[in-house]
Amino acid sequence: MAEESALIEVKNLSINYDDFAALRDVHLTIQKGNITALVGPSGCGKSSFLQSLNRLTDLIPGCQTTGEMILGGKNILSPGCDVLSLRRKVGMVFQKPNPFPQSIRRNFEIPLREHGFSKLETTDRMEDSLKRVGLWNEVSNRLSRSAANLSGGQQQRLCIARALALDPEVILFDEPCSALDPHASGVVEDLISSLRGSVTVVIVTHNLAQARRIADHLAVFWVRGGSGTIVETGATDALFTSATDPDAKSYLTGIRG
Amino acid sequence: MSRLRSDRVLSFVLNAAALLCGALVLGIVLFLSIEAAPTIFSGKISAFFTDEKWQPGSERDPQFGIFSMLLASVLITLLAAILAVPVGICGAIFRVFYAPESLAKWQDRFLELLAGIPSVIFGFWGLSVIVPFINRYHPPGQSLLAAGIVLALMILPTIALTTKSALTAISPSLMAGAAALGLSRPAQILQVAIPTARKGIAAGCALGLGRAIGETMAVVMVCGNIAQIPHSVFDPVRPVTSTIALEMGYATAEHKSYLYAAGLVLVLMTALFLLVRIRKGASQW
Repeated sequence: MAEESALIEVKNLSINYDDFAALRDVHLTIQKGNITALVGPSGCGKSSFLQSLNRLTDLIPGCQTTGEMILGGKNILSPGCDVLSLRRKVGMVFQKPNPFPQSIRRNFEIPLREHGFSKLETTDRMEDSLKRVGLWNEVSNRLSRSAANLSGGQQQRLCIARALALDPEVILFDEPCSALDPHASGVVEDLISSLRGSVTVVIVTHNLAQARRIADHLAVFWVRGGSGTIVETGATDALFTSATDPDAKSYLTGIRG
Repeated sequence: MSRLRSDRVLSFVLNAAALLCGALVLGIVLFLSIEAAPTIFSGKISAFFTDEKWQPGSERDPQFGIFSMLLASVLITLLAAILAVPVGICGAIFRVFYAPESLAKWQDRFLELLAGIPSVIFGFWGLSVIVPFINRYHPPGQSLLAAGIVLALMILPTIALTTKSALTAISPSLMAGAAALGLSRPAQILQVAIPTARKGIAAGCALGLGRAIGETMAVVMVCGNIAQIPHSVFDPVRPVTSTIALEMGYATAEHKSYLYAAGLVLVLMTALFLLVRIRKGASQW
């Protein structure tokens, strides 16, 4: 396990969709350089929580967040927060691979040029991050071909590389393996594991075995009184063997959920 | 009815419908070709491009030069495109990415209404509003410009509505991905949404332009109908379509055959235009 120091402090977070309280009173500390897995049944606010970490919740009409999320001394949720630079620091990889249906090279040029990198830096960063996700040898001779022609697993690794190219502090993964075949899923899982120490990872997964394999910390979400909340957090091994919350215990031991 | 049999019936109906669509196009081209045959096979068709003027009725010196009319058709279409394509695309971008829901609904409704107005009404409106307006600054008013403006209004809804469909068809996850990379709104739209939807947008423009090049009724009312090569947008012009519409009623023999041949040229021009587009659509980045 990497060295412990808090990178993100979530205090009293609640998320509402119009009148519906999706998430209520969530407290969580996310450790720097660690992998934190968010687990729990569907509809308990895991994805909403993840999306509020880079303010992607802003895109959802009627969505309101209250509480505090402190990253680098600043509250992510405050109206004054510079969302564009926040998203540069907090990258995201989605459930379904979503490369831009343009050339592989353009997939890097669009974000990197937008954030002010020169052409030369863009090429360097593209090569570095493609090597980091093990895709360089597969695509180096077809960078000007469409990313849409890659396989699902390759597309997902491209998306991870694209996020890494911006040198983020945190990468959020929203069930990154669930749309992939078992082989590609294994490759992506190993890749996420390899990020430990250099990037802070927060991952939503429905695959408990996966959470157990890769996560340092676990946050178990559950529905309480009609709204999602975190019922237990802790080190992965400890939680799998001795969770105290009855719901978390039965979920993690496979009795329920 | 057994499953197999219902399958066969459906397959037959679908095949027949598909065949009919193809046959119609071929049938029309064939009909035009047969009617134009006397002109084509006698070699007189070269008169289209060698004769200077269009005076088919003249007893002493009948001339059949259609270059000025083809040029007029192309110029009117081009002008309409220059006016309508940017407005249509920008309007659709506003509709999809900026307009509040209530306004967006109204924008759709008005565009659909605009698309449903008969072309004769457009012509009538052009004649009583656009033409006098141009006439105030640059007589006579009936001109290339008037035809271009009226046509632009007619094809605007086609371009705006197809662009809107293409933009709304983009997967939300793609746009969320763009946002998650810290792209600003304009960058999301210009660098991700537009390139992703470009085939649909191109199809909308092609549909609009196809309509523009063949449009007759509105144009005939505002273009001035003088077969000449225009020196400015204020000059009256006469496109191929107007000529066919105005003269087919009384044309006989040779004259009539020339009109059919002109129609054939128009169809070929549209086909060529579509062909270029299909080729372009097929090529990847």
